[in-house]
Amino acid sequence: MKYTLLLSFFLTQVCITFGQTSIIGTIRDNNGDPVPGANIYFEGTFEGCTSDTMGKFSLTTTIASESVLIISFMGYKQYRQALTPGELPLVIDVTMEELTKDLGEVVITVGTFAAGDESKSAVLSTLDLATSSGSFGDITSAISSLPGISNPGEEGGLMVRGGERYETATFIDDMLADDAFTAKIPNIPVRGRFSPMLFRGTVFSTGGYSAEYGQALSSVLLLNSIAMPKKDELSLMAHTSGLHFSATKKWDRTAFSTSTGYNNMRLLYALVNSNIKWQQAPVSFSENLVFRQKIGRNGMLKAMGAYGYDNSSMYYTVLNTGEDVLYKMKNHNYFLLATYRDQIGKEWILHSGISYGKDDLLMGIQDTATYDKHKNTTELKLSFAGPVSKKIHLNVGASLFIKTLTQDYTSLPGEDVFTSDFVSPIGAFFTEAEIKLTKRISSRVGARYETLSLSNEAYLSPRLALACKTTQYSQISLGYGHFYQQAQDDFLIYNNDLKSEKAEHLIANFQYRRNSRIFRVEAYYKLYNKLVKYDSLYSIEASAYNNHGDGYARGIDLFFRDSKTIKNGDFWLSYSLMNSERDYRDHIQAMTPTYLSRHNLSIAYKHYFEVADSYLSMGYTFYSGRPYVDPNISKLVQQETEALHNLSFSIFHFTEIFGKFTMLFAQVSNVLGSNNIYGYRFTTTPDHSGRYRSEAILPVSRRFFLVGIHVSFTGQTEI
Amino acid sequence: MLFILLSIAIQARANDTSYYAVIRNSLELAEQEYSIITFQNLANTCDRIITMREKEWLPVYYRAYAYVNMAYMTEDEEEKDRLLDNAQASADAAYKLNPGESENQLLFALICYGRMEINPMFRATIYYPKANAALEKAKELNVKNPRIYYLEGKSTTYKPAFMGGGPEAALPIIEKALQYYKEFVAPYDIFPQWGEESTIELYQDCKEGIKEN
Repeated sequence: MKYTLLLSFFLTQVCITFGQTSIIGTIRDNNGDPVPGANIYFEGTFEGCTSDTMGKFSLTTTIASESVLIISFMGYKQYRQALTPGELPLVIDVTMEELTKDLGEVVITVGTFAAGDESKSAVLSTLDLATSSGSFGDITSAISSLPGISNPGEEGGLMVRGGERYETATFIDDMLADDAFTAKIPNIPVRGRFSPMLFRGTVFSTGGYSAEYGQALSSVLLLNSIAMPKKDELSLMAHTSGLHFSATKKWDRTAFSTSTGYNNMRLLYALVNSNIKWQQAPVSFSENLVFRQKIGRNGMLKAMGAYGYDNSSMYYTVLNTGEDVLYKMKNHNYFLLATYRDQIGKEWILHSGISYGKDDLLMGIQDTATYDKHKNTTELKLSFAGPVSKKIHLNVGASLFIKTLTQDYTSLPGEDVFTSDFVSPIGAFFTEAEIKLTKRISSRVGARYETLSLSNEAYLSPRLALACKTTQYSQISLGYGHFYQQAQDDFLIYNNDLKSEKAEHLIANFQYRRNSRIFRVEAYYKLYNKLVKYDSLYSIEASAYNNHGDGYARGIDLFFRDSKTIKNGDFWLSYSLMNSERDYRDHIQAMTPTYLSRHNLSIAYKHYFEVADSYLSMGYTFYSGRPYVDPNISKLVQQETEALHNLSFSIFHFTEIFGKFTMLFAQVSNVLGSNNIYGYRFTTTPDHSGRYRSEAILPVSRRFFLVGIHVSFTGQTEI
Repeated sequence: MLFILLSIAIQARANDTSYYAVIRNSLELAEQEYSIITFQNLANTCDRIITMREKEWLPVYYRAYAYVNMAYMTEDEEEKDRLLDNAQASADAAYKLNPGESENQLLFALICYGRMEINPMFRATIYYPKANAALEKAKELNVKNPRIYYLEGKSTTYKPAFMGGGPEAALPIIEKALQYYKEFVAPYDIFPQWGEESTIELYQDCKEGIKEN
């Protein structure tokens, strides 16, 4: 064989000497610019060459008969020319025709912020959710630094584009989690019940979302739980307000995780002054069990069980009497969820789910009223998604969501118990198609049909979205839709006939994204209808409630993020201008909701220090003054508080303690000690001098801090 | 009979070496000058061979390898991702043609490192474990492939100490790589052989790094 090889080598040499032809030339594009890297060869041969940086090439060949010369390069139309290489060198100058540039996939981004590491369109990473400064591990506070979200300190949760907290619905693995937040007591912000660590790939929509999701007027938060953990884990976290333990065991096709948390705010409130007079500082306990099983080739069963317990009590000043009353809250919450996903045929996906939720809430005001609420929710859901043609992707499904609520109300100890209840099934069907109209334009057309037997309603909500790629890096999108949400439990329980509230969204969005820099601007208009109105908050008469409210919200959101310019640094800025008026609840006319600031600015900077193995995160938020009504001045004209500022720091230091991967962390909010006032409460009747006395609504404490340690016994925790 | 079959098989193999010389040429050019053009030239060469020899593993392998290297030399992130998409497509194809070859796994690892580099904040959590899994898979296929330990040593060197990285932790891995490079015998002359010089450099850097501490 060696001999043959040698021979053939010899022969080639001979041929080159005698029958060699050179072809030289230059390759240019339509603009006359050189095309480097093009592949130049004769059809059916291995031999060829590549054009250099000036677009020049020189091809030597032994071919003598007529052949086809091919010049090809990605993004250009292939050039072909039949020629017979002669004895003399040939000179060929070629202009290559550029094909329409492939601008990449069009992704509908209107109203959507994706977080997570899998998706290329993600704006936030899982790490962001966990380490955002001042987030204190709450998934929602990290998200609330995105534009379009009001973050009133006494409320918590996600209040989107002029909407109230309840207008944002949370879905876990596409199933509605009705109690994703802890129960609300006056002036204490709620917290998300679920740890950010349970999820990969979070999508937060500030409007115009898919027809798959209903029962949300303003916004949806879509949390996708981890499909299959990557390895076994055992970790312990201890900080100034609590203890957390989590463990994961992974088998070949099965995984099981548990995470247990205990929080007690007592130590913190012993160290910092609280503006709340606690009798029992908040104590909470949570347990999450997660089970995963792969079934067959592509099937995946996910099951989750969550239990949460909250207990706190505080003294609340009744302004009219000047007395402190004891306000108690005790809450048990259970949420069970199982979803199964499998592939049908080659391309279709089946998604099915069942969930059960139970919420027992006891709220009591000492020596006066107690509310004992028991809520059950059950959901069944089935959907199919897949392509019907190359350009059309369909998602169809149905769900049944049943809520039962019973409330025992006692106005005074020993008085009769006033029981109210309701059972409300909501049936829903949705269908939605994503249609690629052209290479640059994609659209989403959908509709959701919901039927509510309690209020005897049925409605159809259209949902539309359109995205157009303007360049390789930018695109514009439009969104429109109708969104309905059943009246809140607190009103529905007294008046079962209340209709659903309605919102219409119209959104326009521009996004530019290149080299780890994202800029987006979004303008929106939201119209509210059929909002619930009532005469007075605590009325138990059905006639006190109606659907005569309405309102609007409009504004502009800006978001800029740059994780490129500074090495190991990450900067982001979000600003929103919000304008909204509502005539709802007990408003006597259309007014701006008290939780809404007109200007909202959030700036964050994160830096990873390689030398110190530390990660520093800083955040500054600014909210312009919040509106309130001072009856001493006018009951019709709103006043404004001073602007609110908050500068916060978080530091995470990574190290090894006894050979275990350890993270030390510290977070502190309101470093500058700004005296933030959220608004004022007034007495309902004037005193003898004719004045309404007032009290400022203050943060739970002027400054928060958290110091802690996280030890992983199984190596680096995957964040 | 068996003898005839065997000799036909050998002949078929021998025939398929016809494109070796072209690859050899392009590889030599790429070795002389580490640039986008020389690697584009390697990719072009492979493209020409692939159109005529669909079932051959080597040209598909080198096409992926060329695109990975082009991606490493490219600054623009979108372009880098595009080149890595190209590399991924060929690496997947190479894996299908020759699933038992550990070199394919190293391609997967190289692609992961490239993806990660674009935005470590977002991507490290996804691609670092993926790259590690590929290296582990490569060990299962050929535990003595020196390039596994070169890549493992390199990623260990630059990993922070608290995560079990650093020059000290990397040194034994790099030494292993060096030893296996010595023992490694390529089945034929243009079989993948990259990494030895870089391993020697890495070894020196590591030793200096340890001294500094």
